[in-house]
Parts: sequence; C-alpha cells; structure tokens
Amino acid sequence: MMPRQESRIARDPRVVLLERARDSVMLDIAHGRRIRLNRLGVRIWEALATEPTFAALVDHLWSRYDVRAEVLAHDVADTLSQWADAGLISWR
Amino acid sequence: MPVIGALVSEGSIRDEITRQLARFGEIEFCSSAAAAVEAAAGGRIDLLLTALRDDRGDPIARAIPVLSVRAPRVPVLVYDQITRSTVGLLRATLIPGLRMDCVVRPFEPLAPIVRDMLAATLPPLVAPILVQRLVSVAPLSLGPFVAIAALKAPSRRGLDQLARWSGVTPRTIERRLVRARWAPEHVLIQSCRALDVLWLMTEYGWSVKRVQRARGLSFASAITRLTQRYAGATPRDVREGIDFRAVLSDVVRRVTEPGADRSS
Repeated sequence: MMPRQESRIARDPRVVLLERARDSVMLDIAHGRRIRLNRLGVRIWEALATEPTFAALVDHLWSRYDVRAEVLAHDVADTLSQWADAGLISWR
Repeated sequence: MPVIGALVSEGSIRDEITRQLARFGEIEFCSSAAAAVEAAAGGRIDLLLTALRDDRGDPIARAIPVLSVRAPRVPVLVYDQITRSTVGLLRATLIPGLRMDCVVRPFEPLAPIVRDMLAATLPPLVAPILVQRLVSVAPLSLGPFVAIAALKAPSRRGLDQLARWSGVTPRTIERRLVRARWAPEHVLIQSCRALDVLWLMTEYGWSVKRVQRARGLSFASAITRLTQRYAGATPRDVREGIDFRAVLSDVVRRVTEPGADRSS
C-alpha cells in the first residue's frame, strides 16, 4: 500500500453537521455561525471524515453518484474553496 | 500566440521548458502557486505547466481547487519525475473530471501534449481515476509503473518504454506484478487502453471512428476487440447504455485480484 499522502483535507473539529428533515446545516461552534448545506455539501462533509485528498474525494463521490466527473469536480472545488475561505476546512 | 504559465523552481528545468516550448508560445514563469492562480484567473495564461511542488515546497495539489474555480478553462499539465517518493503527490494532484495530464520528466517530450492541451483535442481523461484506483492498492515498488501505465498506455506506449520511465526493466515489472499477484503487464496496459476508449465513448459520446483517430488505432475493429477482451464491453454495449462505473470496478478487480476473478 502507498504511504499516507500529503494534501489531505481536514474538517475543523469545532464544526458539526446537523441533519434535519427539511435541510442540513453546519454549526460553527467557535464562531457561532450556521451554514446551510445542499445535498452535495452534506455528501462532501461526510466524505471529509476520512481526510481525503481533493482527487480522492472527487473519485469517491463520482463512484457513488450519477453525475459527470467534469461537473462534479468543479462543484466540489467550488464548495471546498468557500469552506476553506470560511475556515471550515484546512489542508494537512 | 498562446502563453504557457510555468511553475517550476529549478533553473535547469526552466531552461529545458524554454528549449522545448519556445516555438509553441510565450512562456511566463510564475513565482508562486498564488501567482500562477492569479495569472490563470486573469486570463494571462492558456495552460499551466507545473511541478508537483511549488516554489515553497508545498504540494501543488492544494492550489488545484482554487485554480479550477477561478480559471476553469485553463488546463494543468504536471511536469515532474514519477518515483516512489512522488507518486503519492501525483495521485493527490490529478483530479478526475478536470483537464489535467502529466509529462514524465526527464523522459517524455513536452511538445506533443502541450500542443494537444492547447488545442483542446481531448476532454478530461480517465487517467486520474485510474491513478486513484490502481495506485492506491499497488505495492510501493509498483506505484510509479502503475501510474505511468494509467497515464500513458492509452497513447500507445509499450511495456519497454513504460518500465524505463518508471526506472526499472520490463523483467523487473513482470516479477513485481507476479509477486503482488496482479494480472500480467499486458493485461494492465491493455485494460488501461480499453477503459480510456470506453470513457471517451460513454462520458463524452465519442464515436468509434473519433476514438480511432485520436488514439492512432489502425482499424475500428481493433477497438471492439480491445474493449471486449479487456473490459468485457463493446461499442455496441456503449450504445445500449452500459454503466461505466461498474465496468471500471470490474476491470480494476480483474487487474489487481485476478485470482479472485477466476474463483468467482
């Protein structure tokens, strides 16, 4: 097996996902923020539990959901960029 | 004239890039990953050529999400050595669904791939997915060869060349595949080719003739034989709507666990 790679994406442990019947939100406990998530956002957040690389994350989502890889990669990149700017995730 | 952004820190590699690409366009050397993203987002470069690490030694993989958001039309070409110590970075850098490719330094010439990427003759490739799936389960000693095979087998590179570019002999690759209990080298190489063909046909709706031209195959019938033998699917199956994800999983299993395939 290959050794652990660099460039993994880690969730801020002070952010928790709250899934509700109507929608899902991330609670940023440290900053007292609530961020609403769409379905893709929920899937990305859940997949980040394993601290994947961006490449592995896109592959993981593509293998499970019927969406073109090209569209998925850009949507995931967009979401990650917003979360990184908001301090919700970091690179390891 | 196109502008090629280059993010490499070593002077000798910069000289090499200039020597190989000067006739294709203007080369703008970027001082950092952030500068490369700005150049791409500002429309100043048409392609980004980059090593696996930026000027500060940080993996370039970290800049790819931002780059793909801010400059979605700018393709990225990795230009680096593929060794045991870099293959993990390569795997983290090549993103499924994005227009990315890799030129294996110092063996492979830059010009043909740069020309193709600037002309946008190919859509995003299946290779990043194959690198994800195959390298993740490959023994470290096979990692570079497997990555190079996933990237280069579709453009008809043979075992001798793929082995040499990964720094070993074909015989060593054969022995390592046997020791890992993987399928033989020709199965690995042809399976990558078959998946490349099926990817272009299923994801992008390419015809057999178009794939034949793009991949330099002599006869259309060669495509049917290739995909049927190594992926269990034909162009006719594609027209009837095969699930590429299922085919991919099956082929990866046949390559990495051929014994399991025989017993099932």
